[in-house]
Amino acid sequence: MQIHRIHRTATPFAAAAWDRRSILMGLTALIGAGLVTRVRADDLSAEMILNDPDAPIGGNPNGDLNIVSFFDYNCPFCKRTVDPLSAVLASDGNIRHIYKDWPILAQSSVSGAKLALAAKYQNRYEDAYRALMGIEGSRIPEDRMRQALQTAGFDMAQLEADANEYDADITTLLQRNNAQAEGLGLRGTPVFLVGQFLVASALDEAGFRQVVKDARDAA
Amino acid sequence: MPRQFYLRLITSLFVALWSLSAAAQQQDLLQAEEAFRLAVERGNNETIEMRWQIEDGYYLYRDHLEAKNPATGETVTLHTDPGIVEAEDANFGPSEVYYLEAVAWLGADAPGEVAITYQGCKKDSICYPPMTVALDTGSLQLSEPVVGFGIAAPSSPSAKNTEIGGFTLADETQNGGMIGSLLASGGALWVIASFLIFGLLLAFTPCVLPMYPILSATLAREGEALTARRGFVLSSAYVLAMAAACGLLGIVAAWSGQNLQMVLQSPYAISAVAVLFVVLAHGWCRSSMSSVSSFSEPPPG
Repeated sequence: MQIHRIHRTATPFAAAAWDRRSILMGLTALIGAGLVTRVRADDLSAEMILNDPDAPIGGNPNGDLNIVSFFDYNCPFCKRTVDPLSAVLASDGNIRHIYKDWPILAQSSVSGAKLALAAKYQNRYEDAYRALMGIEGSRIPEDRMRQALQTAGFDMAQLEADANEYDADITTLLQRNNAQAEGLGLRGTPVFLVGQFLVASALDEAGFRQVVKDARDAA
Repeated sequence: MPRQFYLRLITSLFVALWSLSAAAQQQDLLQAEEAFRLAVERGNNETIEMRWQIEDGYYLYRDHLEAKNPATGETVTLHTDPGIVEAEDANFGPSEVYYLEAVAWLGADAPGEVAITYQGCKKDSICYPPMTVALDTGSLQLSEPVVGFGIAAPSSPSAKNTEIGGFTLADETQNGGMIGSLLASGGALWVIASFLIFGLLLAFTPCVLPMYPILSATLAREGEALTARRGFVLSSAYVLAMAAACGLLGIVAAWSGQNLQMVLQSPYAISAVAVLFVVLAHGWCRSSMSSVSSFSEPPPG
């Protein structure tokens, strides 16, 4: 298990103050020092990562701790973490889970992510997420994803219609997720931001509990 | 007010450093091109042997090793040895993977350029996006790996255009970027004119605003003696000197190319800047505090 400290992304002080102006001031300061590096500040405010209005939210939306997960529907280690994480979310009851669909592993990951996000318009994102994560393997054809969604009781015609109608919104959300992941320097999936910790590992239930405890202790 | 500014400065510093520190925190996770290193040599009977050196704890998928003809998009036959069967998850099916080393061969009938795609994971950690390299089967030269999928592979080693699903992450320099398009639409004069206009627009950005009080203070110092002519000369001296200094820095940065970015992103440079900022912030805060307190003191006499 690898746990890494990251800056206090979850404290109210930080969340309230990461506005565009402070980012610009930070950049000004950097330029003033003659040492501006490629800081992707625009994509990188904690506010954007934690409170993207289009990103699906699970767990307790008013929870005191945020877990942001970056995942892909063709990622075996992401699939392995689904059950342990949901067990921890259920038993803890005070964690807010932010879903960041980050389709990077295969072309079908993009189709899967778009269908799952289309399910949001039926208020069934998490059903779609579970159905797609439940498919075994790492290179899943699009047909099998559709099949799994159908088995999960989705009205496929409605899902396709929503996917088409909201395609622009869904695509820009995926772009934002991608920008955030790249801005954070993430290298693959899965990655979890647990409070102020960044975990790039397929944690089991005990692992999640430990990081949650550490994050609360450090907050 | 100064306190608020001080807080803002510190916060914005965190934002700036956050992205840099996140990358640093994943140092024990290798970049895909470090974890999977590909070398190519000519084997017997005109075959081409591709050998991946794989870092300990990482693996490549056998069935994700692919070769394509970038011109036609057709699959090129790639010969591979059986790998180790790895159960990535007790609940899910096993995959055939390679640890430490993977070898694949291209037959003598391979086209002049072949796009090789490979993909792997770090065990129990993360899976990497697929990587594609263009292999010139004549010279055995390999392009830099392009990360992502949905690409017909780069047509030349320099062309990078990574398409991820519905969105394209294009390398701006591919067509010369903004300057290239300006050149194409109106020639060199148009480029110079545009940059003059962009420069004027820059005067309204927050980065330039801090210069105004400095210049106005310089002018105000002249008091009653200030004439329009004198003001113009002073302003010009300030602006031209600043422009010349920034221009020189720009030339140095452009000349050094990517290396400057690399150097500036090193932990040493980042730490140095962080320390510099803390020192500056302290100095600034102290001076503003003392100026506040000197205002509250009664005037001497």
